[in-house]
Amino acid sequence: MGKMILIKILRAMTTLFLVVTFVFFVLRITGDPVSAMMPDDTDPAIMDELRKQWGLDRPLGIQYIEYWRNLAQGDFGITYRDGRPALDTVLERIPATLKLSVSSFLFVLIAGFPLGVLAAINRGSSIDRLVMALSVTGFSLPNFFLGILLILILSVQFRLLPAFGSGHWYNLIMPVITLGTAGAAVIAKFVRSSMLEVLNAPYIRAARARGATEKSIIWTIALPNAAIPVITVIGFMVGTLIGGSIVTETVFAWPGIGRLLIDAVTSRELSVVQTVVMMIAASMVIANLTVDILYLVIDPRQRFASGSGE
Amino acid sequence: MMQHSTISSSMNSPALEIQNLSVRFGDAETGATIIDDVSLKVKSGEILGLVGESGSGKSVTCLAALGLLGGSWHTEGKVRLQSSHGQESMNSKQLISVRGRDIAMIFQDATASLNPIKKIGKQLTNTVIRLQGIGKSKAKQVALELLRRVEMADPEECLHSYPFQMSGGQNQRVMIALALAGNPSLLLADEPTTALDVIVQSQILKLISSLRNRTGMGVVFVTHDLGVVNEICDTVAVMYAGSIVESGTVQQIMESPRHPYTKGLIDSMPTLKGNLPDGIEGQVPAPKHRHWGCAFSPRCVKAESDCARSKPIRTVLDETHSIACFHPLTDKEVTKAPRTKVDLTNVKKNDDPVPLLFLENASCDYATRKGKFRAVSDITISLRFGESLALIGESGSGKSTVGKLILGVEASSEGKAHFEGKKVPLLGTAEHREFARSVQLIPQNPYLSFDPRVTIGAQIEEPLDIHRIGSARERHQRRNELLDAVGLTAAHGDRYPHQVSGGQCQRAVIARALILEPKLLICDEATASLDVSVQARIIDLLRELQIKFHLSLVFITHDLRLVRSVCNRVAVLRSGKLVEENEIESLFLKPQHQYTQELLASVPDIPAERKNRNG
Amino acid sequence: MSTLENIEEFEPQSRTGAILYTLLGAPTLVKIALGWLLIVFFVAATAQWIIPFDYQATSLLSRLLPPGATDLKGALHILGTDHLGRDVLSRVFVSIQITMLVAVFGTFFGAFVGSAIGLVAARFRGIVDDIIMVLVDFQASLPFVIIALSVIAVMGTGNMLLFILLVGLQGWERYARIARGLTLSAINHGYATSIRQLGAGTLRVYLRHILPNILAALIVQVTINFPETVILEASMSFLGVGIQPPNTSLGNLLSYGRDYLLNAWWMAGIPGFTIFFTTLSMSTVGDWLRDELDPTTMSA
Repeated sequence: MGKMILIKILRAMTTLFLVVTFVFFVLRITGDPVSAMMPDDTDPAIMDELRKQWGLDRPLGIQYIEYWRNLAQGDFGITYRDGRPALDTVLERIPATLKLSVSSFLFVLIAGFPLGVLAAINRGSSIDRLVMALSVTGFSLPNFFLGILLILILSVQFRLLPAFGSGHWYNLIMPVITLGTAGAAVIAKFVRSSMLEVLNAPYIRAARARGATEKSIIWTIALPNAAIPVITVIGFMVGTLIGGSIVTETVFAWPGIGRLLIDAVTSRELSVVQTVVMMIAASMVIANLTVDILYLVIDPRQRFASGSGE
Repeated sequence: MMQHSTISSSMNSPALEIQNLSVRFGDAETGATIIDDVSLKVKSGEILGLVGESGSGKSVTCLAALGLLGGSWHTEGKVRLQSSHGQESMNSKQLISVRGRDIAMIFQDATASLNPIKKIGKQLTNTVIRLQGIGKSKAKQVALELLRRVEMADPEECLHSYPFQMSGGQNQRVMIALALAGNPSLLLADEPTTALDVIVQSQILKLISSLRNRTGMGVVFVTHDLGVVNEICDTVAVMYAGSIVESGTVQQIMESPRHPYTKGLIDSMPTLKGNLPDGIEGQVPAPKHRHWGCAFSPRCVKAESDCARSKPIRTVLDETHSIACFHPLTDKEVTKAPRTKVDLTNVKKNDDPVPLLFLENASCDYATRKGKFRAVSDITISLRFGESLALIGESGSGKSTVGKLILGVEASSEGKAHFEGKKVPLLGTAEHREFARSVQLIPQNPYLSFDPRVTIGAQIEEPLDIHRIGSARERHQRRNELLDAVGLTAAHGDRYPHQVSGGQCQRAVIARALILEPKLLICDEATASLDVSVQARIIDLLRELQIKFHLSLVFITHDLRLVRSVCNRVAVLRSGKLVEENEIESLFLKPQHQYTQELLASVPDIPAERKNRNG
Repeated sequence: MSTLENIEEFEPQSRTGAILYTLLGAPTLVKIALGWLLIVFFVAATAQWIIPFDYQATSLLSRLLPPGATDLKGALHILGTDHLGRDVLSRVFVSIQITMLVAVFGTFFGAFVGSAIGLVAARFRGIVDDIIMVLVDFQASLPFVIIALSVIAVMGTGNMLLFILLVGLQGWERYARIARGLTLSAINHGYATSIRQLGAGTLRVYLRHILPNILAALIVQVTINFPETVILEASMSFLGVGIQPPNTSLGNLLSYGRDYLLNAWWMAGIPGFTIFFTTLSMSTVGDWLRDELDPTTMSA
């Protein structure tokens, strides 16, 4: 098992390495940071001077190594606007994003899982159809529009919640629903199909033949088996939430890294862009690694797959 | 509604009695009747064999007896169980209290029938706690005791294992232990040995039989294999299209069958003595397309006009033997000797000193994540033109890998594989294209070997297109000739693979393989997924084509009963090694290797002789 | 239950007939969804000819007119006007055109690239396969919008072709996975082996047999991917990093509308519902199609 975890960690590091390389090449190959940053009518001599100053005239390989060295020292570059380290600018936005995404993640699980189970054990009933209709709707509803709808209904029409702000717990309600609905829809649908597959498995029929009650079959046999493949989807969910937080934070003026990223992209603040991208990539990689290790812990088949044996 | 009731236990009372059971799937208008008025009786300590081809309704009958059919199924009739509860009628909730306690069931795929993520010990203990109502520590003792009773090799170790760490045979023992946990008076066994290797099968059969002797429980043993029935059962009920067509003691059924279907099934069975199996024309109808009147009449050799008019009712021949047929077989018809071993001497042989196929010390490695795995090693086989070789082995013996070496799908890592004196080229190389015209494969699953989106006829023609042989019209003509040669019609050529039955599809695969006029045909378990009545006819076809097209065959199979009527040589494989190779008669009569002897002894076979009623 | 398998005689029927037959038998909801998609595609194809007003013409005197109102010149604005007095219906129609253009071209571009990569991985196996699978895993573990944003950050906004290709690439890894997986299963234990065994070359196996067979699964994936592409395009335009003025997409309309939620709900509501109904319809049709094209009902 230790060996398998080691392999997973190696794979996670490969992904991180790929991300850094990808960011480097996107920044250095597809465009020239100096001309991207300076107005178009800047004196070419000044541009050349800047390039030399930033080491952009050196061979790509050297630049690449230099890039890694800087990253290792925590140097993600400085912002163009106020000269602060990009890392600091990003770090101060993380708590807000973390608050939003963790709450949304819990919302996804709490809303999605029970609905999926409910639909599966009532297969074909009106409950099932309702859950499936909700799921398709939730999945097709773009989150920026859902956010706007919520503001229209809850803030503009009924004045129940303030449209913007991030100080109070109730400020979280609309952003969390906006960010989590699509994920909850996916989870509900997946849990349902996973559960239905398990309920059709021969070992369920065998348990029934031994006189186990339907209730104990669902809770002690079907649910643990059905939950295993759902872990993968939960891993993907982290990515969906991070991607979705960019839009959600913009809609609700939430002071997180998603909005920071958009501001940085529109003002071409490349050092901030690269820092945010790497942060997001790192959290994704950690999430996937957690999922992989969780798999090993929960599913004996994975654990023993390449252990000693035959 | 179905009535379930229990009968108070007394000696010689039936452990299970099913009366007038009918099962319908779907609603009254669009649904289909699956089981039609079935009545059965199993005494305590008796093993009843429930036999029939797939689609005859054997499994559904068992599930109905347990009340395990889902919401779309409608059951009618009476099921009475012997129980400690005394006589009472039960609704489906009360049935739960009977399941596991008075009646238990085991299934074909034991590994899939166990919870994959729980240790066997835990599954067993939980079941014991629930069924016997005892404490956890005591239940653990009982669990261990149960594993001993099913003769598990290492019960302690088994307790701490997961199902995926055990073999299919071991898991079937676990299933049986689970079934015994509630001390049932009746065990339903649904093809429990079908997926197992022959030696393990024989052990499990012995186990079930000895458990019956010790506990006195009744057993319903569902199987399609009459050899197994002959081995283990006391009484037999033969099912066809949802009805019981004949029932009696095992001697009555095996030695003097009166229903044409029963005799057809028996005659379809390949035997170790090398009888040529006969087969039954046609196929089991889908429930919605069953014939009015006697469902078997369209396939029956004795059918007359009255068979189509009404359904035959059960008539009692003697105390134990009954039959549902208007025209039972006469004594003379019953005793008609089966066709004997085929004469292969008229196959054209060649005195060419170069063998058609020659493997010398051939080995084959597979690359796996953990390094190389030697699938077969040091195989030496030679086959002359016109000869047929059987490759026998259990699962994992490497018999299919040898087939792949001959076909050029795998390259030999050591030794050599030669065809007509030349090295077998690897699949995908330019030389293989030419080689493909001489060697062809008939795989186990015909549906998988056809492109599902192209008509059968077009696929039969395709090899000619690939090798640019003939004009479009010639190809079409050749395709029709071959369809005819394998017993299909030109109309079958216009269908898609999923529109024909398994047997017809396998015939089409054979037609496609033969269109290039190969010299060697590799049949890799080519009949294993077919019903016996169909299998017999495919075997017959292969034999006929072998003579007609001067074919050599390599017949890869796990079933020793199949080969004696088709092959002249046998090679027995075990764990990738060649155990014994000989002329077929010598091997069957005087097996040299201990493993071969064990294999032959484990094969469930049917009796060779047939007696008439007075004899 | 195998008991119910129908192995009786079938008459082969023509393929177009079969398609028509399944369409007629579709549930009402699917028919409504198909109807909506038909309207959307019709509008997308003909927007410039059927819009009642110039979609860019501003009129400060008729700002923020509600749906159904007439302006000073007596012209009817069925869906009202926006903050610059532009006709919302005309702007929605033109936006549908751009949104569909991006989504259709993008989806097919992504489907083509992804499937081709998957087929290459399956055909060559070994190191090629390994590299492709590492890239696929990498892509699957990073939200695509992040990649799109970093590319836009460098390349700048306003390049329409780049934007289409970028948005379209979204989901390529899933096409690659499906194409690779199905091809491998056909090669390892399916018809592809049998056909190779008969001496057929690679081209014949892939073009004549594998491609037609995996097409159904790829089409189903298109129906899943298409709404996602629509949403990605709209999101990026909403965020101001997608389609740039004077061009306009549904996402742009929504982003202007966000500032006028208090007094002009239709500015955000109408483009929002248009996107929502389109993605919902596509998902509904996709779900239905997936059941209809289920391989278990196609091959025995």
